[in-house]
Amino acid sequence: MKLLLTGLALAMLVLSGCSQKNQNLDMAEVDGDMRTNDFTGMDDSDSSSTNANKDGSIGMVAQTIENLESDVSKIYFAFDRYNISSDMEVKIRANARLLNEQNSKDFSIKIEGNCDEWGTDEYNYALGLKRAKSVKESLTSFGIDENRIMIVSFGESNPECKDSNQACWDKNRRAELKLLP
Amino acid sequence: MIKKLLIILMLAGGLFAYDATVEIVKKMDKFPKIALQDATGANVDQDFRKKFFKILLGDLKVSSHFNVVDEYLTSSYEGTFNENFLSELNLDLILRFSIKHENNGAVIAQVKLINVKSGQIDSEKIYKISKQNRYPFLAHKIAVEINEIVGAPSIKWMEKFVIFSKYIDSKESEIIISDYTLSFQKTVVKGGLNIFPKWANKDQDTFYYTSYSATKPVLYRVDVRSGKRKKIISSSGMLVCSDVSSDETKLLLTMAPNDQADIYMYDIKTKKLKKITSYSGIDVNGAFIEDDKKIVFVSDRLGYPNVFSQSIGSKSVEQMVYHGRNNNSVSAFNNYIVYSSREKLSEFGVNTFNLYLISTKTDYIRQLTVTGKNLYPRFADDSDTIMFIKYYSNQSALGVVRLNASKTYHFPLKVGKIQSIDW
Repeated sequence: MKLLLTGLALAMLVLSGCSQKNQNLDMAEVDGDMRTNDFTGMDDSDSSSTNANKDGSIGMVAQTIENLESDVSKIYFAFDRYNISSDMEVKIRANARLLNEQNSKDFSIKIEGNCDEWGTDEYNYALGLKRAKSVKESLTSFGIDENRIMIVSFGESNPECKDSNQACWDKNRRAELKLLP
Repeated sequence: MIKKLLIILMLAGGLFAYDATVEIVKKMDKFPKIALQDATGANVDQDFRKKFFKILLGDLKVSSHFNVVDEYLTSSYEGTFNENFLSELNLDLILRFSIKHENNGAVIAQVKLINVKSGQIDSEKIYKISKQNRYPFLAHKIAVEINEIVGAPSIKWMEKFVIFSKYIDSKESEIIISDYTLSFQKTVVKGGLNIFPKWANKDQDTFYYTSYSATKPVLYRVDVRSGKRKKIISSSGMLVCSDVSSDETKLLLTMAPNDQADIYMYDIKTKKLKKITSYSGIDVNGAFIEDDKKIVFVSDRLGYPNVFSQSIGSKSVEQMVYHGRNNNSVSAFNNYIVYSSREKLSEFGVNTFNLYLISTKTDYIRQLTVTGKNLYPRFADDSDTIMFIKYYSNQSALGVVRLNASKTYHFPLKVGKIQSIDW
């Protein structure tokens, strides 16, 4: 990730006032140019895990995760809702069974809550979180250890479908399960 | 009360059929009629001259304090009799400018305000800005001062910096500092998901934002002068800095340390975190009101998003809005509250989201927009101007509502979709 932060000294673009003719009213300038600083690695203690080996190859664990994730169902929600419908509960039960099998029970589970494009983004992030939380609670009720699960919301930032129609919005109101080693 | 609100809304809806004018509260008796004249030398690029003219013209229009002649007029800087008076236009004022570039990249604008009735020069000044790409701020400054000279209510908000996040791809967004017209834009954070930027102080030299680059969302504070950033706090689930107290020492955060989104107050000095709201559903978007002793926020505790208030330190929650079935974003200034409301319960409809203004002291309610998807309203540091996000089918724009003039303006973003704004 490249994080670019730029020192602008924008706040210094303040003009002083004077009404006399031909008085030069230059703006105060603190720094002449806009600086760029690279902040990569500022948050090493909290950095994301990766599935890649040191040599960059994808190892057996990553391959297992990829295979498992492809078998896990996404959980979809009704417009503006975060309760689990009965048909989605069936899918969560199946997910729980899969995630408690021998080859998957040692992985942590990250549930990502997502929303459609409707509504204000701050509310949508909370709505996505409630969706993720609902799935977490349902998974634990089907026997998944809650200590294996973390949840996060991506609001409307992670659409599965980018068109603006009902079929698309239906796909975007969802929770996705990711596995972490 | 509801009946009273409905009557007001019906009146507003009947009187105004388009977005720009909803309700006129008060207006100046007579706006001075003003024309702009470009007196710039031929050695300055014509496109640049016209861009400068366009922004300055737009500023005077958005001020809503002038009757502005649209025509692009030119003259010599000193002007002949006809150039000085343009009698066929029956003007009150002529704003004449001449711009030039310096070798070091600075832009200089020589400006005079001619009183057509008296033939006198009311004001003459030279303005300078260090970088050419910052010229919109030069135009805004000129407009602010011309507005002051005619004695109109302040439009200093035009000089403020807007900070916003825009989505550019899935889980990817950038944070940008701009002027209110988006004519100047500078990306200050990019790479990954970086959202909810919020100015940390009135000087606008520091801002907060949330980064999703780590396992948990992290709130950072960035000094725009040095480019240095500092981690403030992290939270599982979500993390948003929704408001900063007037003394700039306390933050209202929406965060979910236990998977449950509630509103917390974080003290920058003591680093103490205090939970303000507690509800098993959704509480978001806290905003300080009444000398920072109270907050308004959005909650779904009635089964749909609506606006509530709560004194800090109290458990008692008061419903603030009795209109609408989905009021999902709120901003406050002193005793005024602006919120966006979805007009229909379904996800379809022509009048999708509109902005409304209420007062905590009266039953006053005012509809500010009547068409389209209008979200994320934010007051300027006066109670007369509100910025918001306007969404079109595949585009978004910054919207500006001028309350006293009952006018709304839109400034489209060409690339990306605006996620959140602050100014």
